[in-house]
Amino acid sequence: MSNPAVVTLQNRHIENHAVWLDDNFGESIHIHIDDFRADLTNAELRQMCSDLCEAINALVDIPGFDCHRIDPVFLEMQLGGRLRHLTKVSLDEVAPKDMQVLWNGVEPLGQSMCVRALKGDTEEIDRTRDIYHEGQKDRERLDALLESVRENGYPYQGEYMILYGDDNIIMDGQHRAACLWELDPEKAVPVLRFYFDNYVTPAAIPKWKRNAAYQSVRKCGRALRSGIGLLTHPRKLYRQLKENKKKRAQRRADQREAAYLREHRAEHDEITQLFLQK
Amino acid sequence: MGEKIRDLHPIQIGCCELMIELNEAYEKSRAGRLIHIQNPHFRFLISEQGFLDLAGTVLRAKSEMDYFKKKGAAKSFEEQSAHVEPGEDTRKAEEHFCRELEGQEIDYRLLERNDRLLTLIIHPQSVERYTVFRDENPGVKRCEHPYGELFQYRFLYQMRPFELLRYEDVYFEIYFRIPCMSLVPKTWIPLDKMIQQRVWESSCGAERAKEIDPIVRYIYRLCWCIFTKEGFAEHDAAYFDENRGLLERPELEECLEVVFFRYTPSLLAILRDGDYGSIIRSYYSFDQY
Repeated sequence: MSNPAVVTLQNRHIENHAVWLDDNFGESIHIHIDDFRADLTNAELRQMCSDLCEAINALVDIPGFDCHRIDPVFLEMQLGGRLRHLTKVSLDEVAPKDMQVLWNGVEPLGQSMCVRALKGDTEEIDRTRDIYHEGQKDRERLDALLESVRENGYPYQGEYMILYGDDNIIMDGQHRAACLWELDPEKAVPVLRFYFDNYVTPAAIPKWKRNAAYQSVRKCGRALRSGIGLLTHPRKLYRQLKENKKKRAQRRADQREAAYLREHRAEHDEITQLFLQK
Repeated sequence: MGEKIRDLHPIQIGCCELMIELNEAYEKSRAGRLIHIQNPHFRFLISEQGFLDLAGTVLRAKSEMDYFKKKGAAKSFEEQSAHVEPGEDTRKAEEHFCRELEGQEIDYRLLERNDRLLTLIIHPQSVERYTVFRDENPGVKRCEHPYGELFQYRFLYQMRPFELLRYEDVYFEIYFRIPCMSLVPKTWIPLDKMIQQRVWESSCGAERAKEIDPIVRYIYRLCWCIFTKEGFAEHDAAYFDENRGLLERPELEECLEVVFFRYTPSLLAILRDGDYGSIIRSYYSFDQY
């Protein structure tokens, strides 16, 4: 109870289970599934992760697939939902100049946000949300990767960029690709191609389905389905209502704070200054 | 329950060995396959997709942990404001305020002195009398604490939020339990019960005020530097140098253990060497637990 140094590493709902992991500094790593908790040391967590990778490899059972070499963030956010449909993995070589990215539709790597950021145009990358690591800005990550690619080369520790099917659209590794573009856009580099039995290439989607009006209709449809889904799943509805209540409380708290600061700015500044000497 | 397809891989959770096993589901379809994580005494059942999501979550958690430790190892500190010793006005205000508290039979301890800012802790059994004193004394003005609820700080484990009073142009920060800032953003927690009890076990009566136990003050200052400021300013280093004698007392080590756990021996070694600047980096990158 008294450990002040507790960091939540992950927190999500998986099927009907609440799953979260905490790092209790100096004490142990806690893995919570609903009301159950396992306490592990750092070494035990690493071993567990290795065992899970081996289990995923055995489950997927496709030659060329190695979970140890997959970025865990990509696995958790994107690949995990598709793995049951994986049919083939192959190694290929593609030059950065031929690669594409999926951002605002499909665009050449050379015009991507990351390549532009490396050339000095950082406006778009500075606006992106931090989704990779908590508190890590995308630009900071890109700069660190450029340094790593220069120092260690590519691929590093057997981790390849991943493309789906025969497309040259980068699914994992856009930042590395931008770094390789910076170094030599013509030089072909090794990549992994993942083939799925249910993959539809973005290029095959007709143009009319990609336009803003159609996408808006789809968005409304998704929202409607989501709303109906909530009515038929009480637990999800409860969680959503709780979330909405939290957001309203947050807005009210922000308004109260702002109102106080408008009226008492000078006093607050004086007090803050005094506290800085603690 | 469906037929077993095959064992995937053993997994160890602490000292407990389990097997991850792939099974058919109730309906014979690939989408319905199940995973058992089990040993002869225990079974956890989840769908194949649920297992992939769960494994992905654990793997990502480890990646976050590694990043956090790497980021911690690179932390740097910039001193924001020079500490100022309490002036004569602060000393007089302290004397008057503490005399008023004692007059109302409010038990307290003085935790910290800064210029125009004093930190006190009020005994749990004196809270009611303190509340009356605060509300009825015309010389006392209540202000918003910069780490209070208005600024969206949370206080866990039923901890009463801090208060800030202004008296004779000096600010008095009031605690009700010795706090420590959590690594969860904008969250305060009380230090361990053992430390809270220690506050009231003794009183070093000085001329002006009841001083807090030096070991509690040491722990509080250490936690403030590590968790709130994330660094050690010059005056902090001077304070810890001056109080190096406390490091030899076994009670200090006991108190450190309930806050820092297995990091305590490393922390004591650094405190003895006086290399305060390395504590933050060393603590956040510590993984021998």
